[in-house]
Amino acid sequence: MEFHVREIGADVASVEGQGRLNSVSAPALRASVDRAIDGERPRIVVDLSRVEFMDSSGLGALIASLKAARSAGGDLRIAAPSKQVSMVLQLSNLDRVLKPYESVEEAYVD
Amino acid sequence: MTDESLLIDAPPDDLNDVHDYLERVFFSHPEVNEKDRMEFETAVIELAGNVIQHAVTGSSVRAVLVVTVEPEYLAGCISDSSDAVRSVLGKTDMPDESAESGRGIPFIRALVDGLQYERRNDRNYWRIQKRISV
Repeated sequence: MEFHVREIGADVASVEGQGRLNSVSAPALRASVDRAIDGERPRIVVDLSRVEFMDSSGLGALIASLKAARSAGGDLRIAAPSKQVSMVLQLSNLDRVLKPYESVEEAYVD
Repeated sequence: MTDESLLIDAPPDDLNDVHDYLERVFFSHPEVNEKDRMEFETAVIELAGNVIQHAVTGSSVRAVLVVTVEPEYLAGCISDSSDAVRSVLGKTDMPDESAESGRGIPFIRALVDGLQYERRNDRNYWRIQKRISV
């Protein structure tokens, strides 16, 4: 699974991937988020619209990415999670910390 | 009925091979509803992830996974060649929201009705079971 960083604002970047976010792909997500932060875009939205599955390792990578973004003065938000990803977020009680937005565009309207 | 088994030799096999196996199993069982399948698949992946994790940390792992689809329940059994597992099954509480790990077993406990572990003949035997909802 590959992730792509897309610059969508002065300090905002979206990180987009397609497939399964698990222990195999989690390091690639972290690397992409670090790349966005290094590129002076610490406000990040992870586009989950094409992520069909996420396990606890993938969730751990999102949490690590959130902490990295906040340490750099930004934030991390998620957009368009699937039913399975939403279920994992609710199970872990993280749906308040990682509040899902309907789309990448809506994540940073503020 | 018992479906084909999956032999996992990790590395090079990884969790994506388990995902592909589950897709094949449920392609043959379209009668299983989406919610049950989603919850069961997530639990199996968490369990397989725990087993394969030993391969990631250095040593190779050989495991066999068998998923069984019955009219009233779904079951997943994994046996593996790793060292005995200690003090894992007791984990039931979801960790703090800032934790980056430690949610695998709590997820399994929340998603299926049974999780058993047994050490036999120098192998680990794991079984999870989920009742099919009506």
